[in-house]
Formats: sequence, C-alpha cells, structure tokens
Amino acid sequence: MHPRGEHAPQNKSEILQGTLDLMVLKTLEAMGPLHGYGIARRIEQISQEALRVNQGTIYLCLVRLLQKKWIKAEWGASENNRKARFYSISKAGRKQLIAETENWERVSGVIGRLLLMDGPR
Amino acid sequence: MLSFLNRLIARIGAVFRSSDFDRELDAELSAHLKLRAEDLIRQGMQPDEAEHIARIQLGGIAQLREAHREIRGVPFVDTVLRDLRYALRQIRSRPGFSALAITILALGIGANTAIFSVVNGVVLRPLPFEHPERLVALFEANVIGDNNPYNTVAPANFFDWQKQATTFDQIAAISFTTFNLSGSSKELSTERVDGCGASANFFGTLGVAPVLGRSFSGDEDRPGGTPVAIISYGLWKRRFGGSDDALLQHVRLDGKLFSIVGVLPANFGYPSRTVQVWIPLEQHLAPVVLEAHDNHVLSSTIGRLKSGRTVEQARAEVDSIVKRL
Repeated sequence: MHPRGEHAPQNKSEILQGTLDLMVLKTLEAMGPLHGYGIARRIEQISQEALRVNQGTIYLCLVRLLQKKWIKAEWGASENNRKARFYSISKAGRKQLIAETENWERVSGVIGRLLLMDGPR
Repeated sequence: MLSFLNRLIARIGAVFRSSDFDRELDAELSAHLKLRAEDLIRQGMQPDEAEHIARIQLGGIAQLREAHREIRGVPFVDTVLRDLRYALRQIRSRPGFSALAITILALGIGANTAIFSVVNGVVLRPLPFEHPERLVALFEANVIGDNNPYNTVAPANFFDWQKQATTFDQIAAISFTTFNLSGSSKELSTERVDGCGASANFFGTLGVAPVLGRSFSGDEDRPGGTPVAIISYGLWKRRFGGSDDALLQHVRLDGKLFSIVGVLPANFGYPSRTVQVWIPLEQHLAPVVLEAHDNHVLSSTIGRLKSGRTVEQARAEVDSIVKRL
C-alpha cells in the first residue's frame, strides 16, 4: 500500500502492509454487505482519522480479497438508488478473519511486551 | 495455498476480460466519488468543492487503474498481449513496409544459420578423431584412361602399402556394403542395414575406442577367422536396449551368425552415420578379391602419418611402392 499523503499531518500513521485486508474483512463481517465507499467511510470513522488511508487503495485490496475468494461482490443499488457494487464476506473469508485476528493479537502482544521492556539500570 | 490458487486462476482469467474489469472499476469509482461528494455536501460543503475534495481523497484515478490492472491480471502477459496487438495493427496499416522488413529479417536469419552451420562443422567441430591433422586419405591414380586421381584402392595394393610404407603408423581400409540383419533368435525382425568390412586396425587408426568391448584382433581379420561384429551405438540401444549383455549375443548378417565384440561411441559416424555393423575386412571380401590388384573395392583407405612426417613424404613413398609393383 502506498498511501500518498505527503501533505497530511505528521501524526497520522501509515497502514502496515497486509493490515488493510484484515480491516476490510472485519468491517464486512461486522457490518454485512457494503459498497467500496461504505467500507472506506467505516474504516475512517473507526480510526477517527488517525490512519492515513488513501481511499483508492481500498479497491485494490478488494480485488485481492475477491481473487482469494474471501469476499463476494454483487451489483446493487446504493442508499440513494445509485448503482454500486456490494461486497460481503464469504465462508472462507470468515475462516481467514479468525486466523488473521489470532495472528494479529499474537504479533501485537509481542510488540507490546517488547515496548514495555525496561532499560538496564 | 487454496487462496493462492484461487488468486492465480482469477488473475489468468482477468487477462481475457480486461475491458470488463476496467469498466467495472470505473463504475465503482464514479459511484464512490458521487457518494463521497454527497456526504461532504451534507456536511455543508459547496458542490464544486465537495467534488474536488472527493477526488483528492480517492487519490489519482489513473494510477489506481494501473495498480488495479497489475493486481488483478498477469502483468507480463498483459503487456505482451498489448504489444502484440499494437504490432499487428502496425503490420496491417503498412503491409508493403512490413513485407520488406519481414523479408530482410528472414534473409538475415537464413544467412546466419547457413554460415553457422558451416562454421560449426568446419571450425567448431573438427574431425572427432585423435590427432586428425595426421590422418590422410589414400587413393589410386589412374595412369591411363580418364586420369582420375581419386580412384578407390584395390585390396592387394592396400596390403602392399601396409607392409612397405614407413611414413605411416598405420594404414586401414573399409569396404562399404549392406547386410540383412536379424537376431540370433527368430522372434526379432529382419532389417536391411548399411555395414562395412573394416581392417582390424581401422578403429585404432582413427583413434576411436569402443565404448563397450573391443575392436577386431589381427587373427579375426583373416579369411575364415572367428565371425565377430562391432555394432553402432544406435543399433546397440535399439536392438539390445543398451545392455552390457549385448557382448554375449549375436547378430545374423546375411544368414551368418557373428558374435558381438564391441559397441562404438555414439558420436562415431565414419564413413557415414547410416553404417550400423562392422565385420573384419578379410572375412567380408572373398580371398580372390583380396589378392586382386585391379578390383577397387575398398571404399576408403586411411593412413595415420607418423608424427613429424608430411603428406608430401608419404605421397612420394606410396608412389614409389606402386611403381615397384
């Protein structure tokens, strides 16, 4: 992911490679079918602008997830009757989400403990 | 692993439906922009500004489309297909120029191949024999008639040269023939093969050693000697499965059984790659032929010069031998 945000405030964080997949899968699991913009908006709301997501990269992530058959896509009508493509999580996607959640917790636990280490007295 | 496979299949499929995917992405992105702009307007933004901001937040659409293509397809195949389409369009739009270019290319490649074939045969792959510079071919010259200086040699002359010449380490000869070849048992089919009668020192003169077994001995190269045969690598593979047991077996040549004593290397191809069986020269030729000075049945006569001797010295010596006869 290469969010272009040279002019964005410095206190926004870059997205870790691969974590966008996890975020999209979790969003779809929690919210049910959503179109691309809906997913982008939801992630923005949750992160409260702390993450620097280039909204376009959501679509790249969606293609990858579609190819892996972790999500499904269907054309439908948006809230104000616009044609939009709706994505929903698949059975394989749910499995993957569980695996990735565990993995994430393991890694973040390790990082957390590492950062808590005290220096030599 | 499964997701990897799914992704691969999807990528390959996408190559063939590229324009569908482009259209879908465009529709998605324009929906995205409109939805975003509407949200911004609801927050109190002017429509112009809202559209502008929506675009900025989405990021560069052209780059996005390119990245999308790379992710969903097989980039290399995609590019090649695009180039190919472009090339075909160019050829169609300028047929005359294209024909000329193709002709020039064809001629160039052809000439290159021809030259390489010659260089390969003459320079890169010299005779596959030991010290090929010392090998000479011997002929008889007609003193009467058409004065053909390259007449094949009669057996009796060959034997005289063998005995008397001092400029040569060895002189060897072969006589080309064909055999009806069959196995020692009836079940193997009969075939017609090219063969040679070869003097016992023939392979030694060329500096070629059998890959299996041995060459002929002097005792075998006699009228009435033990019937033995040497076979080509190809025949060995084909009829004997490349097995060492071939040395215990026989071939029937024109109805007569010969024990196999040797197998030649795969690259051996003299006088021709078609020759598949060799038997001793003096078993091949009838005694009366062997004694003749005027029956020119030896297809090739080959001498190996002693090291340091020149072709001219050898020629002078062979001439003097012939004159003494």
